[in-house]
Amino acid sequence: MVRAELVKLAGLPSVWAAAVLGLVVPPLIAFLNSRAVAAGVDSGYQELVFGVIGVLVLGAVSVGSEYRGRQITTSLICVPSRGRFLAAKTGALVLAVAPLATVSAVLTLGVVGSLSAEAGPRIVGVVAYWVLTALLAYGITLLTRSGILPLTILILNTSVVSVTYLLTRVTPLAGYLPDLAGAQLFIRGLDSPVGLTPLTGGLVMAAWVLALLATAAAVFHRRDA
Amino acid sequence: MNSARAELIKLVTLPALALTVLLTWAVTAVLAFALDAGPESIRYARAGFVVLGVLAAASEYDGGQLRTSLVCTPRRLELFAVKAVVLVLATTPLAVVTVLIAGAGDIAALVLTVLLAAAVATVLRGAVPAVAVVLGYYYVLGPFVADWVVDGPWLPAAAFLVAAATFLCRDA
Repeated sequence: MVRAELVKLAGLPSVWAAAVLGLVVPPLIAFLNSRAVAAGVDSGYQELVFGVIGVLVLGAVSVGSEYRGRQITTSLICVPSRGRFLAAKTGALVLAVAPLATVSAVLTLGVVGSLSAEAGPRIVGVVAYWVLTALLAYGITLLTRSGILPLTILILNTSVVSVTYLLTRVTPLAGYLPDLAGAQLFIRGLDSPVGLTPLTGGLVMAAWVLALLATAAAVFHRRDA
Repeated sequence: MNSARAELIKLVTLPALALTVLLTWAVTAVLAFALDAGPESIRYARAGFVVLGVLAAASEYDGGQLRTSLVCTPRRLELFAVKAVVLVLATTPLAVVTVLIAGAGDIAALVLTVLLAAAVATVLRGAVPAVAVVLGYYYVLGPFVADWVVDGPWLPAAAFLVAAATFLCRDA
């Protein structure tokens, strides 16, 4: 089942475009930035936050494509158990995003020249952040059955002045929103009202993603295809 | 005139477009007043206009509606021109209201954003890839290439010409 989902992903042109986007955008921005700004503790990593655009598309397209031309009815005839169908789909997405994130992180850090042995744990953080972000886009798309709303919200929120950042000016609790908490996985000098360790930040983001996926799965389970 | 009226009816009766406009205004108002973002909120309102342009153009490619449109208006140049003019005329008042809500902003820039988004959606024939491309350019890549790329009407104009050429030459 996971293989079938991987074949579906690999057969979508947008998925390949998204993969190229994820591989090209962070190193490119890092290269442009390295000529304008002096290298700091977060150079390279900062750009990997913006690089999630590729996996946002991947997450949104992975579900959204099922709802174009009623492919979902065929998929559910092949795998009638909705729980198993979703599990396979989620697994395939994670299997696609994780290697993409690893390669992109290594490339980006290579461009800024901060690739060394001690970068290892932070690269793991980048991979976790990318996978969780893709799952956010995936979960919202599962609820809305169209990739437009999740892509708009999430791309807007990866921009330089994100909506979450505006929210932190109103309430410090905004530091617990998934993007800002998750960024603590690998950003060291983060401008956030709540200081979290990489592990807690990751767990906060994972909790958001879990809650979203549980809601989306419950809705998907009960709704007509 | 008939084709202009037809295009206007298509735009006005799409529920997704009405929803996009209402959401854009609501979000802009929340940002401008509750979050004290003030003039900054127009930056985010722009995303709503991207979605508006994309949905307006991509709706023709959802289920082959374009073939019906071309049966009714077989001259492609005429159909394309009418679509563009109606889209600009319909979005201008929406842009005026948005600028009033945000308290700042450039009406022409918003309308050009709609044109750019519609042009990209026409070339890509899909809403999701078009949204990803245009928003990715405005919000992710844009700030980093601002030194090299001059913001202005030339990008929407270029995209518009490419879209026109594609629309005239490609099979529906």
